[in-house]
Amino acid sequence: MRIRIFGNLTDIFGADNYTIEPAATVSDLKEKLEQIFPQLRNCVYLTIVNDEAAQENDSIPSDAEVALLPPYSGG
Amino acid sequence: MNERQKNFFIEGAISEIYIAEILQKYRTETKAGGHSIFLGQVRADEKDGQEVQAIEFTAYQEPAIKKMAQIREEIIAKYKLIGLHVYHSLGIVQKGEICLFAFTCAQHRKPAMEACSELVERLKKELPVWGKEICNDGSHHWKENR
Repeated sequence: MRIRIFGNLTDIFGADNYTIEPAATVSDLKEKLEQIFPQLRNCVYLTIVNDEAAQENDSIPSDAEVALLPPYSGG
Repeated sequence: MNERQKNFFIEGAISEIYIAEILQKYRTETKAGGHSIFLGQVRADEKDGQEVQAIEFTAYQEPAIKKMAQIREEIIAKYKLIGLHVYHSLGIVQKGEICLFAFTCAQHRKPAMEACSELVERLKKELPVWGKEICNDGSHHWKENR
């Protein structure tokens, strides 16, 4: 699955998107990502699944659009 | 004047001429009695002894456009506005340049001013937009909204 990355998280991933093997739930995905990028554990971010802010136990459909959003800083 | 704005993102800085052109459209809007404008400008902050030269803005665009449309509709209805325009930069904006233009127009000054203030506060809080401050030595810091 392809994840879109924004804001300061792009410094950790080194890109604005990242491809990883599918994860069943948000917490599975976060666990996998935090193993690869341990710095993520210190970051505040929302996980968006198909335009909605997802909770830890929410499942991730295989074709979902997933995005990681740190706190906003526009304006 | 409340025709739906299709996209509120502009690539690069927002030109003063563009702002003047929007203002000029309101000459024929003779029921209007007050306009309120907020312009956000890139500030040359000092970060770890370096000066901010520019901010690079990125956005999660499709959700940001949907959210902005919702905020726009809500504020127009709440303050019974005659007009509302809002533009935000994407990409690089140099220090001293304009990166946000918010404009509200109403019959009287109070709704125009309160609507403009609420518009700016809401978009800073609710829109998935990020600013990367780029310093003169090439280092960068991620902007934080206060």
